[in-house]
Amino acid sequence: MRRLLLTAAALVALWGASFGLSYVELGRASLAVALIIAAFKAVLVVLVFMELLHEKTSVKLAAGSALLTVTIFVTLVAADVATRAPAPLDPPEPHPTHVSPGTGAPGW
Amino acid sequence: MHTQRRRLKDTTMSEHPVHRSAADAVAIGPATSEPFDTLLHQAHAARLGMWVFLASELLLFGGFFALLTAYRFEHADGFREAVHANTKVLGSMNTLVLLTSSTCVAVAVHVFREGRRRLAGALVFTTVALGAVFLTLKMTEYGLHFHEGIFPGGHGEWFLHHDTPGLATFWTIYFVATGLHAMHVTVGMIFLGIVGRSVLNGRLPRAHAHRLELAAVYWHLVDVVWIFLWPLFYLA
Amino acid sequence: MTATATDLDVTAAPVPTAAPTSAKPSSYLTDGTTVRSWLLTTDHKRIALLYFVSVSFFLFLGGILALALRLEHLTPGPTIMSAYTYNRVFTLHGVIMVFLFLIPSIPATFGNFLLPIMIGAKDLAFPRINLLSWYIYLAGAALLIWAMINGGLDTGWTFYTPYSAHSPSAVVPAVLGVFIVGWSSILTGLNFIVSVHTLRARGLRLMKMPLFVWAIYSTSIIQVLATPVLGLSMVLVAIDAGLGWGIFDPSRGGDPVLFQHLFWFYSHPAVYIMILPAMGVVSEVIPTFARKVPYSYEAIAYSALGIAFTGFLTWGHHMFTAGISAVDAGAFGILSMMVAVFSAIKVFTWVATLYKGSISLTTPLAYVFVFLFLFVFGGMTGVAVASTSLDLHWHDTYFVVAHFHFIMVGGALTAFLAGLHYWFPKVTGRMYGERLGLVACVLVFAGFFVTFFPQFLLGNAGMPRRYYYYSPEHQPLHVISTIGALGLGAALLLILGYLGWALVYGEKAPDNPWGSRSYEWLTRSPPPTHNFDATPRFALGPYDYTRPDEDAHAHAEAPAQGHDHV
Repeated sequence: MRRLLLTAAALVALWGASFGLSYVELGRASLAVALIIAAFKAVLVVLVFMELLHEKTSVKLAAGSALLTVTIFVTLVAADVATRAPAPLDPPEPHPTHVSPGTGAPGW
Repeated sequence: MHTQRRRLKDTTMSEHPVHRSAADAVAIGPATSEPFDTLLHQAHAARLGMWVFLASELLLFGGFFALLTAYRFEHADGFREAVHANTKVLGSMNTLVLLTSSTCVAVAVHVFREGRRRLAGALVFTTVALGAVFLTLKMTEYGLHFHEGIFPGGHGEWFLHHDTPGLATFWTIYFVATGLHAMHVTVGMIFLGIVGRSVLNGRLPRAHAHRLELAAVYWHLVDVVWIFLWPLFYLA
Repeated sequence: MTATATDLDVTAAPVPTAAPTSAKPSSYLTDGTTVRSWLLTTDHKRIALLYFVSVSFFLFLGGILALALRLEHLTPGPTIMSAYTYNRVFTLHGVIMVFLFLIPSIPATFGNFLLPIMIGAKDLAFPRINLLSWYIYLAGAALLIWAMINGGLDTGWTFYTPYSAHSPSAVVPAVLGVFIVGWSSILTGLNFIVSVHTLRARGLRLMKMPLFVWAIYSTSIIQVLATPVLGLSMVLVAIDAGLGWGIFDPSRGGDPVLFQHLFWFYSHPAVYIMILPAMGVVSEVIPTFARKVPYSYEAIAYSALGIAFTGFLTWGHHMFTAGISAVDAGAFGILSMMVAVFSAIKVFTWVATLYKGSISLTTPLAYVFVFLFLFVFGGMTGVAVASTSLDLHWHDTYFVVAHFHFIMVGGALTAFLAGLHYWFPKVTGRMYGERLGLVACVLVFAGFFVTFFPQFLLGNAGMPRRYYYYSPEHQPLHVISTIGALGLGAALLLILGYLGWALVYGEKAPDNPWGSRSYEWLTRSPPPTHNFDATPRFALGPYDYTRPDEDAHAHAEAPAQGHDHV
């Protein structure tokens, strides 16, 4: 019981931190900070409230593989968009010799 | 505190968690459903089944996370502008509501295992009520958006004087993702309501605590998803 | 062998079963004969048969459509249908074959039937959810077919945006149908995963499970983790097409390439949903008919998990020409080739198992030989198209069509037929005719090869896929391909004919006609409702061919409640 209430207190504290920090101008880091705090909260909920710590290996495997798969998914999609040179569907800029959509990127 | 769980944990993964002794078997009672020998065994299967289902749910929302990440790379400015225009205070209150509700249902599971049936039931229904508060706030937010002229698909007059690329995309994904999340909240409320009723009227014996756990675990996942949607849509 | 046997004797107390004194001839087939007893059954074996009937129906339907497409391509211009119909027919063929046949084919039929028996369980963990999944499948299929009749669908089975958002055809009901079918797939996978973890009989360690169970388990992981993303992408297409919100609409800042990311994140692993169970069938058939322990049990089991995992790392190779970044394309190209490593491990292990085995050439094994040849052929061309430089040339040509048909028809369908013959005696209690079986197998191979090999040449010569008109110089190869397709169709009908005949007039099958050591053969043919009259001891491994038959059976029987293995 004590553990549950401590966790709840920690969750509210993290919520407050995240909410407060959103008023501080952190520039590009603000999203990263907010997501890191969110990750801490999620870990608390999953391990303590959902009792993953006490579950059997098979349950941990299920949770772990879901997390791994989501990570792969988001990473490889992001890797594409982050390394695309010009967005392929932007209207082509007036350019005398239009060679390929990826003029700035390493070619095929 | 929860002795049954401890015992479950001790059995190795490769073997049945079958009862160790005759005394245990009596304490646990007979199995209710066909393929299992003991209730303890069945409870573990149900719990694993729920977790596998939640793994699947996580991937469903994972699609949104992938989309949001990608679009944020493509339309960094538009997304930041849209986040600033969002109803941050209401959204953040909603986060607090869900965190509280998760705490309630976690405590409910704990006290139910100790046999405090009425308290457990009351806490479950508090959770359901907090779910209703969440949905009400969410609807209020939607109302405010519509009032401002923000509709999904880039429709509405707000978009006439806000034309940074990516705004329409942000709002459409916002409506679809939070809408799908609200559907999950509703399902979780129904699930908790059904289990909560049988907790209160005593039809759910302590040995069947896993049914309450299943509903609780589902509710927590809904919370976890929101924990990530909140910063992405409201904070930064 | 001896180490495990002694290990197990310690824990192998016979577990009492529900009805040890049930009358001998009663089987799951005779336990209730009303329509209601079938439609409301929770017996995994009956649900497997329900799935089998529906899946075969859709194979037949998809096959008819394939023949229509091949007939259309007999001439470079219009032959038997208009271009309007052509677009609808190839879409319907793809949707039916992928979502209604290949995905559920082996897991929902053989997996459903055999997985509980192979782990010594009475049923799956959630029998009612198992039945529910079949009804969900039917509901989704019905919606799909309704959409096909009322408006049709002309987007191709890939539903690419932005076209699918503007297509005049019935996109919304069709994608919702796919969405619903997806849930049935998730529930089946969930049931299998939980059953493997919680219902294995005493003493049946993970590394003593039959390899088919490993294959189905790996498949289930993909079904559970990939299908929801398909569901989401279908919902988003439905929103774009039905409500016009333009999530992927470039004019509103949307990015259609992201749809392809979501779609292929499911649909590439879906290829392994189709091929992994096929590999499981092969892993069962080869040790039985070579009468040999698999060259490496661990290699086959772990490579199944390896394929399931790497399957999630490769989806981008469908998008090399779609506008993804060069960096991502390069990464996906390399990651894709990792799948080939695990597949090669399997192929080499199978071949090494066959080497110096005591081979009896029966129909199932003949299909496995066909599988090995076609799978290696299809797999090698897969490595070729995973290279970005080559894919730029072959993308969206018949080369790709030939490649994936080699895997899906040459691999998955061939293994489906192998499994159908291999387990026919167990499922029905009857024997099929071996001679006709071998003849049909040769016909299937010939028909398949004549159909699809010319398509590699067509693609390489520049024939694009999904084109209604083509240049006349491609006609000879198209004609050959059509002739092959007719042969393949005839061979499949022949199989349907003699198996139907055997179902009624076939010889009664013994419990273990192949002399296999795998666990499903320890029970009667057809099995009783609760799978085993007395739970066997699983004293030997599933591939223990190191001792003579009688000896092996003596170990297999439960000491007290022996049931007669003749």
